[in-house]
Amino acid sequence: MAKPVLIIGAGIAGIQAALDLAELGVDVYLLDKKPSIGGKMAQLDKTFPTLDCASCILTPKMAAILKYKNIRLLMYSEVESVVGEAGDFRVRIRMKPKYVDWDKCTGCGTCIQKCPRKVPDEFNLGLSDRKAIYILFPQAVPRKAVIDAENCLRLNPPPELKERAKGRELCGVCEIVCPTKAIRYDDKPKRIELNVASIIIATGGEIYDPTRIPEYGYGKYMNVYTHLEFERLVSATGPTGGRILRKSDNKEPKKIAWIQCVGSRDRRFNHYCSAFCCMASTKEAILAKEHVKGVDATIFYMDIRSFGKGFNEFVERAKEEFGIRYIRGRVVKIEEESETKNLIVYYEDTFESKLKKDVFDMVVLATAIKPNIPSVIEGLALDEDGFIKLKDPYLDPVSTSIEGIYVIGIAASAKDIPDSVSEASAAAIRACQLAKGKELEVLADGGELDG
Amino acid sequence: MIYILREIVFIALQIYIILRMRTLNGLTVSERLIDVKYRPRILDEIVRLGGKSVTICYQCGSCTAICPLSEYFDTSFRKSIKFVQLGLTDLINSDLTPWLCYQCGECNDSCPREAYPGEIMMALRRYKIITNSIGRIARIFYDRLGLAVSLILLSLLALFGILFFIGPVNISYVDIYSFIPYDFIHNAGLVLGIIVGISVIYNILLMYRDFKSHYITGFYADGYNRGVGMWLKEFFSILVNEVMVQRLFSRCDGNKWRYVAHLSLFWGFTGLFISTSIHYIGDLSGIHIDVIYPRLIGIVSGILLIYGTIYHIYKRLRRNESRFKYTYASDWVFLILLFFVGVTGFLTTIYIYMDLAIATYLMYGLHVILVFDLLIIAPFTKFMHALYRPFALLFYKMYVGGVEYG
Repeated sequence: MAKPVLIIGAGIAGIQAALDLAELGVDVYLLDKKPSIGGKMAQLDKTFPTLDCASCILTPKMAAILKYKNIRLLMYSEVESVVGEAGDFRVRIRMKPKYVDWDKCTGCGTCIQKCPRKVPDEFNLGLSDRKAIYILFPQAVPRKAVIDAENCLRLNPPPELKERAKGRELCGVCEIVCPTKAIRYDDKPKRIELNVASIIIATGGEIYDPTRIPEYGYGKYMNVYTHLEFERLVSATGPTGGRILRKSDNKEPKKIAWIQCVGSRDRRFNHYCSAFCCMASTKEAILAKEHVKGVDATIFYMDIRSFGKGFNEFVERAKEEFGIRYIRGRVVKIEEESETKNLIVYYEDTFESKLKKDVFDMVVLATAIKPNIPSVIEGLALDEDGFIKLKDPYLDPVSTSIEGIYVIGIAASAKDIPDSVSEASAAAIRACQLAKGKELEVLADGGELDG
Repeated sequence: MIYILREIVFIALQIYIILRMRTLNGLTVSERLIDVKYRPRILDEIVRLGGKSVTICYQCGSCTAICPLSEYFDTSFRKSIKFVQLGLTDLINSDLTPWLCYQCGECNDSCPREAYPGEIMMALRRYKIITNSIGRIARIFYDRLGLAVSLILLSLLALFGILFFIGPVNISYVDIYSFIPYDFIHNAGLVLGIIVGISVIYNILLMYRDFKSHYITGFYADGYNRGVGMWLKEFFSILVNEVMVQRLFSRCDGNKWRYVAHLSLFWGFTGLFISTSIHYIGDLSGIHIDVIYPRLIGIVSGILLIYGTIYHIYKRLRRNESRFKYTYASDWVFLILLFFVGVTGFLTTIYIYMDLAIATYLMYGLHVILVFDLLIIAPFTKFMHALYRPFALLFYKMYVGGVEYG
């Protein structure tokens, strides 16, 4: 009987691997620390180089996950420890308390409407607010609510309110309004132990914190964005409903600049190239052109790395059809005009060998990506950039230093969606071989030749 | 004497070449570039001279954009690095950009490749000092062994000179001229001055020739009126603003203390030179000058010199700022020589007042040897930046245009 496979991380790579494995008849545990699958791709608006809507590609896959009986979702969970060897891993998993009985929750959203507590929405990168009880995003799978205990008035009341309450329980609105009585304020974290044949790491990455690069003034200047924030801004499900508006004055920008290689290819921060930013910025510039009439879009770059299929044509199209300016030169510092909150960028136009400064209404930083590494797996070798080391980058590009543990997506190296998806299928086949081990081993063992 | 004659012939030759040289204005950039020599080996040379990371530069232009001088000069520091990467020797020789740099270190801090553009500028300066010297003689001072051996030999030469001319020494009270005769020190000084002066003139003429032969219309915008009056006007403007006050330095640097230290170093050395000259001219012309004035200038200048050198030595030893991180051997020699020239001169004066005859003589002897070392290698070491820079600025202003002081 085939053993199950654990996939850590339910982004597009994890989803694809789970679907492939499920199709092959292997039991899959799909784990994510967030309450919904989807990962970073769910936050994107469009994809390059075809400008397809990201959600339109992703949501069918997310929905498909629910159709398979042999995929079990472990949402809002974290891996605590991994022991064992290929074919027989024992994994301890901590399931964070959701405070909502997901068997009963129908995702109707009544509780969300009534919840009095507002906190910054991490899915929209703090550009909008969500409630303390929330569904991660409208297309979430599974579409179930969780309570953010830290910000909940009932579970973690602010000290001054607690004093006034004099021992009485506070709030409790969601419990009252829930039509299926699914709220469980006494929910506790659960620990489960799984026995799996193989583990696929698909933990992806996080945007490198651009506040570490002081010259760009991210966090200090209001109209400096990261590209993921811009992605939310242009998204129809985003904080502004798809309108590009500046944080400072809620007006549409007339001039937007993209700065490439922020924190990547920079020896002070990260050595590696983040691979997708050239194309992402090109795409975002095109989106800006489509969203705001007559906007001036400028991309500051050192090298445009449009290596993939159709990528170069995409950049050419951006230049010719959309009139996006590409300026070869690194922006070395940004200053803010105190009244208008416009941004002055300083750079050398290396084609003209001249120092220039230009004023933009909005600056988007193509920040580097940093991998999320599950630190609990002992003996997992990392390379010098902090990504998971591959056993053989040429002929075994999804295997890690530990046999039976595979890595796909950004946890292995910075890459785009197509690459992540193909790696996912590759890793699925590998994991399947381990899961169905016995039967396959007989076929593979041809015996030794004499002489 | 033969050496001096040779120098004169060389200079005559140089002047002849410069006068004969046709400026190639009117040609297009590409026509001009066909003429440019390509020598990839220059890369190794620059790396050896301290520009270790010239190859890792990816030409983003951060150094140009952050450079405080870019506001005043229409120039690109990135381009100088590109010339090295491509091995365009003629353009490197023609490029005056490295002389503009004040090594504030901002480019080092903002370089995404950690290529230390400031250090590449310094390496280019060393390279230019070598190529602009007679028969590339300066290269021996940019080699640790050559530097050590030549310093020892020069010191020995000075020592033997002193020993050879040493008079009947008076040890009962201080009489400097009984230790080193008056005529010897003054004549030797004069000869030294002439040799160094000729060397310096030759170097600057070479720099001018290299600059003119390949500065390209289109690369550098052609300048404006270049009459004699304009040359003189610019020259005095640079002398006041750039040499005496070092205005751009004060604008370059966030750290005003480095500006103060550098200025006091300059004025310390110049003051000592002036006080010596007053003394000498007084003696030569027979006009009686009260010894107290030159001595007073000397003491003040000595303090300034020692302060300036101590500041730079301390900073270079601490290495906590990117601009002081790397120090080339010849830079150390220059700094340390300056420091000890200051210290020995100071101690000599103190010993004279304390009337310690033998101590005075020993210290004075050491002082003379160090001064000899310092001056004889001056045209071939970092010292030359004191002259190269103002002249580079002059040529730059005359042919390219540049800073207007507000």
